[in-house]
Amino acid sequence: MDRRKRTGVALAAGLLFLFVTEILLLFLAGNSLYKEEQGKLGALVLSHPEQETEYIELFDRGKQRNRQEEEAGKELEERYGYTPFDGRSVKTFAAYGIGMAMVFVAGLGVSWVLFLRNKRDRQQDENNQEELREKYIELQNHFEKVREKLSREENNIKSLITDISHQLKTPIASLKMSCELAGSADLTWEEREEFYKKEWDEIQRLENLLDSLIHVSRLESGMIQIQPEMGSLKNTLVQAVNSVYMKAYEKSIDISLDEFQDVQIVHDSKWTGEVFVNILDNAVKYSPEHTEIRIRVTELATCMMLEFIDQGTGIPAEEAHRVFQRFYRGNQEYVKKQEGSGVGLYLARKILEEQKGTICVKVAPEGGNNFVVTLPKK
Amino acid sequence: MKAILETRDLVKYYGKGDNLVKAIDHTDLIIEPGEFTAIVGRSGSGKSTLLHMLGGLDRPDSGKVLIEGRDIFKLKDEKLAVFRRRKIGFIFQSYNLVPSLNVWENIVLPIGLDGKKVDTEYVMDIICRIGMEDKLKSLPNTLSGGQQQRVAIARALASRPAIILADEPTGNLDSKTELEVISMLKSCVSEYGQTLVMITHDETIAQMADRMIVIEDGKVVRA
Amino acid sequence: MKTVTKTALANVKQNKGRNFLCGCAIALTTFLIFVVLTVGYGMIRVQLASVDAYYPTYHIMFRQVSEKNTKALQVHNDIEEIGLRMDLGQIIDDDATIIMTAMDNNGIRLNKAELEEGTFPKNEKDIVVSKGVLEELGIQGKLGDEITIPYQIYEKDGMGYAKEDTFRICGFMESSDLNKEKKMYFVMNSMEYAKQMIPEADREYRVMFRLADAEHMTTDEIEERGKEIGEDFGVPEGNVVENREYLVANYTDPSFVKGMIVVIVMVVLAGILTIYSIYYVSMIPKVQEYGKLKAIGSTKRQIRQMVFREGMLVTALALPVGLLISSFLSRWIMKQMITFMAGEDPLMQVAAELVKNGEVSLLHWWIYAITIMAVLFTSAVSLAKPMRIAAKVSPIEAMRYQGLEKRGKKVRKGYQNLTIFRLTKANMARNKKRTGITIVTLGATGILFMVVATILSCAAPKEIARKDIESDYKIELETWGGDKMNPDRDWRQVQQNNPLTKAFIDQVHDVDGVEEVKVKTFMNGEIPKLSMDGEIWGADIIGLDASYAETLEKGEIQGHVTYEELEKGDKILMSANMLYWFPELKVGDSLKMVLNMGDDQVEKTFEIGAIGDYYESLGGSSFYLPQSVLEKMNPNNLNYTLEITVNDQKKNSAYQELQALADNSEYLVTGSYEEQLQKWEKNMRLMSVLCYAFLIILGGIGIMNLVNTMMNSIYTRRRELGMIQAIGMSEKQLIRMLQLEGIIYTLGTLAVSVGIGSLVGYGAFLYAKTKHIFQISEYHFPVVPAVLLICVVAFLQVLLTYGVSANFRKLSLIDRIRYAE
Repeated sequence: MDRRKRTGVALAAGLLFLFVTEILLLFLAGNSLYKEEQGKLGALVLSHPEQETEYIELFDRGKQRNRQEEEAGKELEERYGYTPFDGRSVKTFAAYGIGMAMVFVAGLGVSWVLFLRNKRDRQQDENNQEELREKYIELQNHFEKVREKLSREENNIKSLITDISHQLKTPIASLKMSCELAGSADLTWEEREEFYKKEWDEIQRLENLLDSLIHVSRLESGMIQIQPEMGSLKNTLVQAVNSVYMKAYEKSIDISLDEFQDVQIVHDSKWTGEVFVNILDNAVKYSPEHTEIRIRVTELATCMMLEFIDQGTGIPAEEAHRVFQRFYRGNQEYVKKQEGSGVGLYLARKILEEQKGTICVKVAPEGGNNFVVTLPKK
Repeated sequence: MKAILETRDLVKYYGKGDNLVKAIDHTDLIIEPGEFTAIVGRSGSGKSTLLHMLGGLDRPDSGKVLIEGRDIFKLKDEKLAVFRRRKIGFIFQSYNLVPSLNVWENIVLPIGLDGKKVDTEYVMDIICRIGMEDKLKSLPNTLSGGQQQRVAIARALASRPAIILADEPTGNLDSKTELEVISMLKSCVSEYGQTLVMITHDETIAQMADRMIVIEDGKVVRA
Repeated sequence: MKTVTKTALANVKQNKGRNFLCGCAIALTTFLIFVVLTVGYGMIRVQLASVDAYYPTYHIMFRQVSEKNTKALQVHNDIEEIGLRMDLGQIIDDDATIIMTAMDNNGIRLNKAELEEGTFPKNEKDIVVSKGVLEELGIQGKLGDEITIPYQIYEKDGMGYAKEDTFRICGFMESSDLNKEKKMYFVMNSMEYAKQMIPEADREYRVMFRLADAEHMTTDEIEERGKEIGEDFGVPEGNVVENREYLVANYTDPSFVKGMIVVIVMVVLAGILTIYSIYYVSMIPKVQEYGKLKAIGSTKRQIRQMVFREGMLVTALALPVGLLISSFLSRWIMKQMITFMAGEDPLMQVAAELVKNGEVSLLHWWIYAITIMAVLFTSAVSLAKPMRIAAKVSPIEAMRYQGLEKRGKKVRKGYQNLTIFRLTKANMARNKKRTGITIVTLGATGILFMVVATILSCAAPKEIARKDIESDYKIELETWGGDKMNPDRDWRQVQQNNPLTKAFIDQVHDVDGVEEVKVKTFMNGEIPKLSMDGEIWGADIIGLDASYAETLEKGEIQGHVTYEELEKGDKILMSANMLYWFPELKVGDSLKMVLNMGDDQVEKTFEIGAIGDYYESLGGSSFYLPQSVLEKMNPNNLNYTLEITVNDQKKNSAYQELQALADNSEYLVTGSYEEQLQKWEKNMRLMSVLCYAFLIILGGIGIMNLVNTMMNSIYTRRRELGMIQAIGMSEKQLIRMLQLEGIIYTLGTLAVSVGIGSLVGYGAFLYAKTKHIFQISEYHFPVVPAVLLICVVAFLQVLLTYGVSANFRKLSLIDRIRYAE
């Protein structure tokens, strides 16, 4: 406000100054013209003092000149070759006129510059205000987000617990029924064997589920920290392959690892290994016998890309993005038949994303799955 | 939970009569903050048009687009440009870079347009993450497609916008580079807490998103 | 229509904008070439026509030709037409000589005889007289009256007896002052009467004739031919008279033609440059198109043809438009020019009349032909490189073309922080070549402008006029030799009867206002050993009094001799003009001269004491000596020029009086400084107008180029610009960027124009100074034209930027991006 007032005052003062100067110049111009007239009168009188009275009468400024007089004067001048532009009065007038014009233009120029500056300053003020307002809104949003994240996590945990209890329900119900049946009535030895085996399987499955659940819940609640360290990718990979080798062998599935240049990358070897195990495990589980699982590692500009290609039936397109959801197991028959908790890929994705990596699944050239994993090199 | 980006009954038609094309047909959309949302659809499904509207590049025939709760088309063009500059980062499929500027200058261009000083440390950090720190002075015509897109990502990140809109950013890239670019984008965005909305026709990429929205004939089919 | 042509046609329609621009450039070029040719040639023709209209148009006159020979000459093959004049006698009068003469129709026409009123003699007793004659004879008479006059007929050995006869006045002719002064008059009788009065055998005619096919002959050749024919028909050399004035006036200056050719070449170059750059710049976005064409099977040759035909189609449209406009405007332009130049010169006034009445045809088929050929040539040459570029495009490269030039820089230093200004600079740096061409083209015109402006403003008419006349008023004798019609004009005669007597000079002194009178004397003769084309060189020597000593000595450029030394009479001061004709002359050479002293001649050998460079105002002579030397040699009155200085206040009255004094003698001519000044001022004004008008049009061509470059630079970058806007550049910033670009172009152009232009202008000034063009000697920087140039260029830039950006903004943001796909 203050600045604006100051500019306003400056502008007013400037205009006043301009005005005064113009008036002054005008006055001076008129004055010099007046003096010229006087000089003329004086010259005439000096050359013919006896005509003094006549001259002063003629020079009466009140009198208007008649047409005849004007013509006579004009004719005389023309005869002697004088044009209006020879007159000193004209030159004087012109000089003052130019002076006034220059002052005026200068004044205009200065006020224009001031005006522009003022405008620019005002605009900047406005912009700054806008920015502050925006920042404030952003800050508000930020807090809002944090609050939401907290509540989301809370919800997450709640839903996790719901999910877990849900998941547990089925196998426990099955066990319960088995036990009940086993405890009641007469069962043959063979029947009892059967039940026994079934219960054992169920317990195994429960264990696996619990395992995964524990992993998931720990991960979800932040109890497990991913601790990335510099390590050999090859080692992590090879270890993972080794842990599923037996299972693969049992199904006569060949796991091959394409030769690649080992790199040292920052990753959590244990958990990343888990991811590889999960993928390979799935691959083995859902591939028919006598097929091949191929692992290919490629170095890209900023990350390492690992491809796990199997020759199974593949995941249908509509389900592709769902497989990474929690507890998703797919609608297909053979999947349902297999054991699985549905958290493996979910876990894998979580772990990888924590390390700034990614995972997705593509259709392999021969129809199977191609799980593509990326891990940043730095 | 307040949506960071929202459309209400958005409509955009092109042409008239027999030539009428319903690019966006009464679409309601909600994008959650901090999420990676993929918008999927076939060519001609209107997804580009939708993205342009989300970014305030094009005015709809009717309906609203709200960013952080503000109706952006209520803003005058000048204000809209400034708003866009500060809130949104764009990544196009191609021609992302100004050919006469080098990599660094391209990245800091939006900041310069905003008249702000560059936070050199922050920008260098981003550049290192995308792996272009030794090509700072190179001109775009010396870069491969993937490199150009990486620079585009860096530029989108450099001004710290709340939302990043990407229009098929990997459309011109081979599969490996595509994967790389997507994973980079995803990780950067999550680290800096930004919202990413990406248009793609590739469902593989869509897998990597937190949410997938399918558009068909200008309408949201699946969310 | 063949496919190639069809495609070319389609292309023309598609690239409307660019082709329109090209069309304009072509039309302008056409206009310029046509107008220059027409006006240039027109000027020559008008001049010739006016000479024909003004002067008597015969080439040669034979005197004392017998009747028989006249008939013979009439049928002579080399003679186009003849006119006859016979002087039959004289009217008896005490103090005046009144000659009776008769002319046939041809003679009247060739002689351009004119009557004040009435008609030429038709009937036998018709006579044409003048008022002066009647006065002398003391007779009153008007048209139709009968008068009786005493006369004597010419006979073989003198004049016959006095006779008297009555004649009817059929017409009046003018009596000039000369007639009255010399008391020599003419009256015209009918040829019938003349033939009646003089028997055939005694008749002696003057035959005036024109040579056939004389347009290709030089003046000398015409004279020679006349003498030859005369010989053949018994006309001695003494009776062969050339119509000097007419022949000389028919001479055209070859340097004029040379100048015209230079101008046309410049225009063609400008046209080529502009059209070439328009095509070059707009070739870039079309690369993809040509690549696709190649991919579907066009050969290189076909692509070249396509480009060529597209360009030629545009030319075919623009050329007629240009020709049409120029045809209409040339007449108007000629009129303006002639009227402006007419002024006092009676010859030019006649010329102006001719043009106004449309008597001189301006439009000639061959002007059209040359213009058309020149413009076609321009177009073809401008298309050559673009054709080559288009043909070289490889299909693959074109389809992948991303608008980036593969060759060129790989890295760029760049800035830490970016601003709009730096962004603009980067954009311009990328396309250095294109920016450069545009700036250079426009700048070249600017440089030309500055050079012309410099020359024009350094050519201060005041100074030039001063070099023509050193005093305020000059009274000078007008003499010339070798004129058989006016032998009294020879200096040898005049110096024996010189009107510039002491009494006369005293009268001059007495005129109120005269402050000083300087007298220059003159002597002429021959230098036998110096000859040029068979003609012996004349020796013109001006004698200067002691007050000129310093001037003479200061002007010496080779050798040195003082006034006192010259007074001894052995050495002579030679003007540097002589070196132009005889470069072998040097200081110390001795020249033998045969000098005229009235009717006598005296031989004298001088040694060249020094060679000096002097202004015309000194006298423009080949040699200079102190007056005392001339006086000693020649007793006659050698006064030739009076240089009179007049008081400023009294100039008007003084000039009038001096003029009156000079009018007393027919041999005296006058000139004043004011006259010269006026003349030069007018000349300069005219030249300025012409030059500037021409430059403006040339500038127009350059501006077209600028428009094209700017429009194109935005067009090819629209995708880029749209993208930058998408990432956050506001419209205002975009406008600012475009404005900055405009400003950079402006500054660049101005730097070249005004900066380099001033330097080149200075160089031109130095050149003009040495060659004495316009008598330039002092350097004035052309402030007003420079300021005008700056204002106009700046204004244009602003206008262009505004127009171009307004055009661009019409596209919505999305269209800009989408256009890319």
